[in-house]
Amino acid sequence: MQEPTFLILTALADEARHGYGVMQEVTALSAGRVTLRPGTLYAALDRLVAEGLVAVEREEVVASRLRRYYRLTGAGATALSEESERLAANARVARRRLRKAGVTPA
Amino acid sequence: MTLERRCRLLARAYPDRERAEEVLTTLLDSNEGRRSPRVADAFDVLRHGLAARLGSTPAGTRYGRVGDAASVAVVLALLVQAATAVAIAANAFRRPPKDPWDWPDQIYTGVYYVTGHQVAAALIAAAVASAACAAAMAGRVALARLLVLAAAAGGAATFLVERSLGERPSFTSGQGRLVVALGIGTVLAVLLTGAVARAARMVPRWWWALAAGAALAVALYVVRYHPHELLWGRTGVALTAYAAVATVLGTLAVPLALTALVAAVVRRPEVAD
Repeated sequence: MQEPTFLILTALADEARHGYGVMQEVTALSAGRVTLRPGTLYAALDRLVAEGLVAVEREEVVASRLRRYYRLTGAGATALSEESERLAANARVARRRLRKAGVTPA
Repeated sequence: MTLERRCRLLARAYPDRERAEEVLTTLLDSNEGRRSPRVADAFDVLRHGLAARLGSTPAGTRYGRVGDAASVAVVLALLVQAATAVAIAANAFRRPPKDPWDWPDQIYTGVYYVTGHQVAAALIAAAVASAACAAAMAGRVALARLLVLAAAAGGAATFLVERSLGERPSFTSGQGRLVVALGIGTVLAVLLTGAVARAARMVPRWWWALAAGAALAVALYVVRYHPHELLWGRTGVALTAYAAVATVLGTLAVPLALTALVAAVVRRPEVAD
C-alpha cells in the first residue's frame, strides 16, 4: 500500500468526509508532505471504492454544489489495520537496529 | 472570467456529469480566494478527466496507466494525421496541376499520404492496436472490439485508396488473399478480445511478455522477409500500400509486446500519483 492510499484510508477512519475534506486531512496527517490534487484524489477513491475498501455514504447538495461523502468499509478498516501493523513492525525493527548500532532514533 | 467559470470548464473534462460536479466543488473549495485554479490542479483534473473521457481504464487498476498511455497515443496519432492532411491539401491547392485530369490524383495522393502512407498507417495501426490490447487486458471488451474494427476499416480504406492511384492491374489472386486474410484476422481479433480480457486476469504478466515477444518475432519474420513471395505471389503487384497493410501484423505485434512488457514491469499503481 502506497503512502497516499494509507493516508486516504486513515483520513476516513474516524468519520466520513467529502473530497476536499479528505484532501485537507491527508495534508494535515502527513504534515504537509503529501498534497493530493482533485483528479488524483478521485481516481484513488474510484479504485478504493472498486476494491470495496471505501464506500459512498451520502450525498449533499449545498448551495447547488454536490458533496459526496466517503466512508471506510469493514474491509477498508481491516486493510488499514494490517498495514498499520506492518509499518509498526518495520519501525520497531529499524529502531532496534539503530539502537544496536549506537544511533538514537529521533 | 470568474474562478467558478474556469473550474467549471476544467471539470467538463470528465464525461460523467455527477463526477464533474463533484470535482468542481472540490476545485472551488481547494482554490478558494484565488482568481484561477492552480496550474497543478488544472493539469491534474484535465489529465484524469481526459483519461476518463477517452474510455481508458479507471486510474489505479492494474493496466490503467497502459490504457491511458495507449489512448493518448491514439489521440496523438490522429492529430499527426490531421496536421499531415492539412499540409498536403494546402500544398495541392497552392501548386495546382496544369492538367485538370491530374486533380483527382493530386487529391488522392493527399488522401493516400494521410491514410495509406507506410509510416502513417503504421502509426495509426500501432496506436489503435495498442489501445485495443490495453482495453482488452483491462477488461473493456466492447471498446477493444470497436478499436479492432476501426483498425480493420483503416486497413480496408488503405487498400481501396491505393488501388485508386495510378494504373493498377485487375484484381489479382494475391490481393484476394490479402482481403481474405484481413477479414479473417479481424474476425479472429474480435473473438480473441474476450479471451484476452479473461486471460489478463489469470495469466501472470511475464507470460504475456513472453507470448508477445514470440508473436512479434514470428510476425516480423513473415512480414519483413516473406511478404511478397509468401503472401501476395511472385508478380510483384503488392506495392507500398499493400506492404503497409501487411505490416498491420507487425504493428499489431509491436504494441502488443510493448503493452505486455510495460504491464509486466510497471508496478501496480496504488493511486494515480
